[in-house]
Amino acid sequence: MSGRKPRENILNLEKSLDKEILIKFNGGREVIGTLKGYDSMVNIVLDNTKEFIRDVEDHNKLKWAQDPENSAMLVQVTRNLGIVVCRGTSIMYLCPVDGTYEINNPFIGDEEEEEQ
Amino acid sequence: MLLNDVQLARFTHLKHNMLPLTLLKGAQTTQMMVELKNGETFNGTLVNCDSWMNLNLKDVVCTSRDGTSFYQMPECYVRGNLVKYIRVSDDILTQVSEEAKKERTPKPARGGRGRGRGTFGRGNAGFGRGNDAGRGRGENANRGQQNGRGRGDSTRGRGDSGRGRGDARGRGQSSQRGRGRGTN
Repeated sequence: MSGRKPRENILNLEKSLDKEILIKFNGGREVIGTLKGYDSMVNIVLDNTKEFIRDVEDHNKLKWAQDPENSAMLVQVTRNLGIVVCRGTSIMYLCPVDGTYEINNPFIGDEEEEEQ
Repeated sequence: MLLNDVQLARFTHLKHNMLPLTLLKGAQTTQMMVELKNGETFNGTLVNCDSWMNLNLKDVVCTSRDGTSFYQMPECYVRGNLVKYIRVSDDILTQVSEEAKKERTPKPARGGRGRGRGTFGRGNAGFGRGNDAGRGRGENANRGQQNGRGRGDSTRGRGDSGRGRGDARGRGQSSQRGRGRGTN
């Protein structure tokens, strides 16, 4: 029994099916899409996938542009990829979009400790 | 005297060898900080981890590599091969080593099971041998079968059937592998 790999997925993606998830890939690409399928190697099928375009000079930063409807707002530049099969080995991390948002620095107290 | 020294050495060895994945497993449900190879950090509570160091975190704060932007995530799955290091709280070490000491006691029972399996496996190989040899070679094979079943002269039996066994094993394994591929 124990000789075979149990391959129990530590992440339950079942509950994220048909919900939006964010995936960051090995080289730094980031996509958002609706989770349509997955397997035990965390290969993933996404629908309505949008890739965030990155800054030309700094590939670690995402590209922002003025919102065409509201010129005061900046929005992230994306391109549509449609339905995509994401290879599990090149996935860096993934998280649900729902409940993910940018916050202010929560570590201000221990900043110096982090720097060391 | 010697025995005592060996036992002591083994004990101290186990005491000091804190395996990374054991520690990580023991650190489940605690707060930790994970830095990825690209410099991004994740501060969160470990929900689960596996032998590849893939991590499932909850209530995560993700910090970008330049340390200027922060994201709150309800949960996050991080792939193990991209982890640079993980910081855990200091008291985890004592907690996990105590747990490990408790688990060490019932180990002899496992060894017993292992042996049982081993003989079972050999039994299977024996069946395969008998069939193959019987079909393949006339006289030698018959001898092989008789010896194999009767187990009278242990040394001769093994010596004679040595060749046949080699053949049979080869076939048996290749067919098993074939099956394995098929299902995968």
